[in-house]
Amino acid sequence: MRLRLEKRIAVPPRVSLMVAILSLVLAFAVFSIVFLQSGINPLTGYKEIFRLAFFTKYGLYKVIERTACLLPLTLAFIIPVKAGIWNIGAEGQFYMGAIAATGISFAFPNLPMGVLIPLMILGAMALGGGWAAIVGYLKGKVGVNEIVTTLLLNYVAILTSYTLVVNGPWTDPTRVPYSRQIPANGCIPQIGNTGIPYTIFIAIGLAILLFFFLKKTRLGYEIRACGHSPAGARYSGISFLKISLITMLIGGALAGIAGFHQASGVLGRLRYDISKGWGFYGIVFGLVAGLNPLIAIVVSFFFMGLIYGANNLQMSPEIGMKFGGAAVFIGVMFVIFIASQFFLRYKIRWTRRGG
Amino acid sequence: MEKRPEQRSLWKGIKRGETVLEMKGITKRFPGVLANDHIDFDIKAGEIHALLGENGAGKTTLMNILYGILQPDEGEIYVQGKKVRIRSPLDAISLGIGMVHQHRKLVPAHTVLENIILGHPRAGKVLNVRRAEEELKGLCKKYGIKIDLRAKVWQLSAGERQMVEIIKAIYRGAKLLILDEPTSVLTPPETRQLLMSLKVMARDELAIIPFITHKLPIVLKISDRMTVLRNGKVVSHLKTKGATMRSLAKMMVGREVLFRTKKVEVKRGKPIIEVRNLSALSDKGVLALKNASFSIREGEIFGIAGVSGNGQHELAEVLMGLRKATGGKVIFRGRDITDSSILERWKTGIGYIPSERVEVGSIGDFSLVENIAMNLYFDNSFSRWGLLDYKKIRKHTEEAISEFDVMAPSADTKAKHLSGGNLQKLILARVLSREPQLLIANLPTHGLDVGATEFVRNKLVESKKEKIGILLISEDLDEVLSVSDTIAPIYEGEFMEIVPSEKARRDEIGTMMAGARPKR
Repeated sequence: MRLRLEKRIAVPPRVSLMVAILSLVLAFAVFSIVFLQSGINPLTGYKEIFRLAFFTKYGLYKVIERTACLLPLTLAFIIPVKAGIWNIGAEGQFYMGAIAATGISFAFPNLPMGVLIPLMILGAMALGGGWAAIVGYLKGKVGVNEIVTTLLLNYVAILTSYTLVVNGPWTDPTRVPYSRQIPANGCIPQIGNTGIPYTIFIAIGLAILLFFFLKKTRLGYEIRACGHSPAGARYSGISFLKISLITMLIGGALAGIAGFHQASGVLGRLRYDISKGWGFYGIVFGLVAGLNPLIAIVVSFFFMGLIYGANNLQMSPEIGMKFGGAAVFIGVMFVIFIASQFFLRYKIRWTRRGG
Repeated sequence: MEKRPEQRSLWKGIKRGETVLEMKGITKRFPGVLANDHIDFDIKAGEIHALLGENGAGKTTLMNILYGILQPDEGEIYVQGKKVRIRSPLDAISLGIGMVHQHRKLVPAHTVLENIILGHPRAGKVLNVRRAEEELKGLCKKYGIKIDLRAKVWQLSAGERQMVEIIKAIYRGAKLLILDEPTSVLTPPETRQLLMSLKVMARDELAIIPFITHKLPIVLKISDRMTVLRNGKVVSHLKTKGATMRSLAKMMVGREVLFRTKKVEVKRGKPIIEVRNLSALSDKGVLALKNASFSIREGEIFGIAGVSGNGQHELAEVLMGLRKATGGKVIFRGRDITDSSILERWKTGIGYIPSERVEVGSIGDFSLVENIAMNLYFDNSFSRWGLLDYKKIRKHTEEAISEFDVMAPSADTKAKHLSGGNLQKLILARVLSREPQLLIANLPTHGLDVGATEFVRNKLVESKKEKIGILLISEDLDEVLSVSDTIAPIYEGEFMEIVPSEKARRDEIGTMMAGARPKR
């Protein structure tokens, strides 16, 4: 008997789902080692993760609130990569969005909410998008590697927020590494007393919109053509510079919206640690979702749930997970889910030797 | 491992003309296709036996079975009367069967010598490079092959690489050599050299060479016998003597094929494009096109004859805007378009059929509908409010598929699943449906089988009636001669002459393609 790899011609949805479920099972199995090592029954551990995330009111609300942040970050990865451009810079674009939103609220604190909030959103989109468009321009015009530039610009964006909030112009004198509070007019309201800002609707709406944008519009067609075959796209008259600029602009704007959500809707201020690497989670979520904006909704909700649950195991009195366990959990899950993408591209056959 | 040397002795003591290998009743099914249907095939020592058939006729399947890559569902293989099972290429090699594939498998960074002895059973643990080199030099001399054994493979041309593969197979003890479309990547002089070497091999070494190709003139020139396949079945076993292009093509295609494309005479109209002193660089940064000047009128086919790599590819790309001109002007309908974008050129009425139909002319992962959209997406009649009218594009696609006889399960099939001929028909349909004023066709029939070639040529000639001007680039001199109204042989980036087809003589054009200046 020996193994043979065959390229898959098409991936049936059934296979994608099976691969996802098996990846999850495998990730759980691997992480069980950590549970066992800490003297916790893995089954109890996983039950607790799910309970905390999806079966407590507080947890569920929190997970939805985070989905509103992660979904645009996931889309920020998906749109450029559909054109073959790897946006590793959602993290930085997220910070720029938060900076823009906060800055606008400080500049016009007296505007009515109905004007100020749209202005903040537009500002966040413009700065996030503009930040990413620098990369899009360099990539499209002279072919500078976008992975390098997006990654490096992340640090510039993060340190910009640092200069602003740590002994900078926006510093809150009473709470140092934070900025002053965003005026109440600039805080997007929350649904009832759930703590979920209305940005969740913006996020889901955008995902649906982008799904149809890619599928039905002329621009979406041009984007997909670039992603599948740069040479073929060029031949049919599609300008890669245009597509590179547009997709990065859209990607950056989406990440900017996430920044607005976090600053205006969740924290009420700009913080130096406003993201916990969420811009990078978006890359993983996007790949797991098969670059499909609709599936991205489900993926970001479910994964943020698992991550939230794992994070809170430490605080759960009956479990008492050691510090750092959640980070291991996230790592194991991401590695296994990304590695399992292999099975979407290939199928494995057993062949009898010489038969 | 012990069994293999013993198996090779099967080839001992064979004489010229004896049957050495027989395949009986070979049948192979793939899902939905009967690729080989009870095929009988035999090879005699010392002969060149051509295996003919259109794309998809089952040639490659049959040879893959012989080489052990595929297993037959039914049927038997006999080597010198003894039944054998060939389970893998290793079995085939030990029986003295060698195969040279279309996609060659050499290590570019290694020398020719290293490539040949790489993995050779006799290389053993200690490489006796010197001895191998001596032996190989002998082999090359014997067959009239000029190759520097110390050259790195990446420095070699496609034809030389092919020779390396052949020597490699022979050096490993192949007595039966399977060549898969051996001339598809070769220039005419390289083809000539290859054919000569193969003749010598067949005569001297009792090397037996089934030949798989659809280039009929070559088959007629070199082979002793042939087997013609169609739809997985043997249509005929015959001797080459007495066979004609026409009779063979009829067997392969299943209907009469006209080799002389019917000329359509139309009145030439106004000039469409004028090219003045155009120059361009190749990808390597060398001046590839030098001061080309010509013009094409309505209803004229301007045929550029030349061996690939003489600047004609660069010319086509400059005219389409895919490559920048370093000098000169392109005037289209009186307007200077030298710096226009690719999209502007499509819109203004220039159509391009690229030579790289898989990499450039189509998008493999796109459906046929989306591929047809490659030339429609920018057209306002196919989109509204920024939304593409996929319904209309689908209708358009289905019309193109039926009018151009594209064999595809449906309009949703991905382009990468089409055969070369069907893909080319799709591209042709797409570009012609734009009703261009100027059509640039870069190697439009390269690698196509007889039927598809005839189809494409006829479509080109017919479109003259629509007052289209056509720039045809071809390596096939006969194609250029039979289709064009004006003929321009190109060599090292320069037109040697521009002659009307009435005054063109085949031998003169041929020598000019090789660099001879015209006599004045």
